[in-house]
Amino acid sequence: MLEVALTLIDTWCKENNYIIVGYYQANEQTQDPRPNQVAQKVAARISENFNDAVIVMVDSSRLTMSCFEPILFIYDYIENKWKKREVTMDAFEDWSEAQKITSALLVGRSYENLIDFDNHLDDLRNDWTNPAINKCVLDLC
Amino acid sequence: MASLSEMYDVGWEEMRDKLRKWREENCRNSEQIVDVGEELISEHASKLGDDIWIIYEQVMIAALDCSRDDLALTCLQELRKQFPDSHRVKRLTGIRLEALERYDEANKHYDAILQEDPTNTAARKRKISILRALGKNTEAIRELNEYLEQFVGDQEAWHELSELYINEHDYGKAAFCLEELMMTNPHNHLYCEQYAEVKYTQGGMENLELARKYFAQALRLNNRNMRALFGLYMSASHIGASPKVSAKVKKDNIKYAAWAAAQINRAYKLAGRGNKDNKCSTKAVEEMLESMQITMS
Repeated sequence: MLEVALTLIDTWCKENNYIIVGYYQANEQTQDPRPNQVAQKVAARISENFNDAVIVMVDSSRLTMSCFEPILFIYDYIENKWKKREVTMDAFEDWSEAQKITSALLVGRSYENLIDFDNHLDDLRNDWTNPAINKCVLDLC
Repeated sequence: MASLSEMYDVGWEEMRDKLRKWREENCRNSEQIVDVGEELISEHASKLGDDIWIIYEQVMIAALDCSRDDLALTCLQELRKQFPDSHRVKRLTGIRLEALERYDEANKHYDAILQEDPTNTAARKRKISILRALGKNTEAIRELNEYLEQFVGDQEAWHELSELYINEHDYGKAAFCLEELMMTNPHNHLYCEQYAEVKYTQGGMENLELARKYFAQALRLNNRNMRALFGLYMSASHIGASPKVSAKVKKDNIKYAAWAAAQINRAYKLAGRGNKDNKCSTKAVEEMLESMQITMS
């Protein structure tokens, strides 16, 4: 189904002038934030279509409502290996704005309406592009 | 702060019925259960009769999911008072310790239950869950295999084992677990579809053909299973595109893939009816199916 998801999303992206530039993942085991085999394989496939593809791993152990420091790890594909990048605030367009918006969305429990591709496969009417949430994000900016 | 019953104009009976529905359907919507259950317990406990005990259990587990240890402890203490020697309540004590990540204490707790009652499957399964929580997948697999030698009919365990094998990329053994489940549940379309996905992942012509067959079987059992439909399309497409197959096999699979593509398009059109935004999806699907056809010829 991963293949289906990637292909379908890729087609949609081309229609709408987007590109898939990376892959993010938050691990079930919160103590270990390293990208596993699945993450590496998917991201390698993405990098076939986009040279600067990255893996973004969420550091769930540090994720809080008020995480003013970035809690993401970024990996680049260098010499066929995924290498962790030194991350500072400069890596992000505006971390504190993003953090504020995220907190607001969490307080409002918007995750109850978040649709992923699995939800979409359960019921095709579920829209994995999440237009309502995206609108909220824009409104909160 | 307004109570739920004030905000949504629901009576305590509706709240109680909602909780029952969630129990019966095994829903894990913990935040909602906590919202409804906490109010029900604090305002309407006396009206609930004997239902209150199972509600305490349900709310306790939901509270642990939401890090509400205060609420969980309240529920647990009521249950302990009412059922002081119950193994079921002891298991809940263990679950709370697990939620607090006090795994050594939890294990000791379950060991004590097993000392008194060596056939207590719930305690054994909790110990395996602890191994999983600690990331000790190999040990969890070993314990689960031992458990299944004794309790060969435990479907939940077989399914858990298949998931563990998939996480460890041991697809052959995952397939074996799913075969057990399909044998005892021949009408369950989900097991067919999951088995087909494992076969597809293993790859190779034989496995792809098996995958296609089981995706088709899943569809026969439930013609609305989208994963099975996509799976049928993908496996038939790959077989049809392979240079190693005979002309007849190629022709048959292209036919199956075309049929699946038509069904997929139809499903998307049905879903998109009356929804302007979903037109994008429908178009994307058509394009995707078309682009895959090119690689097949």
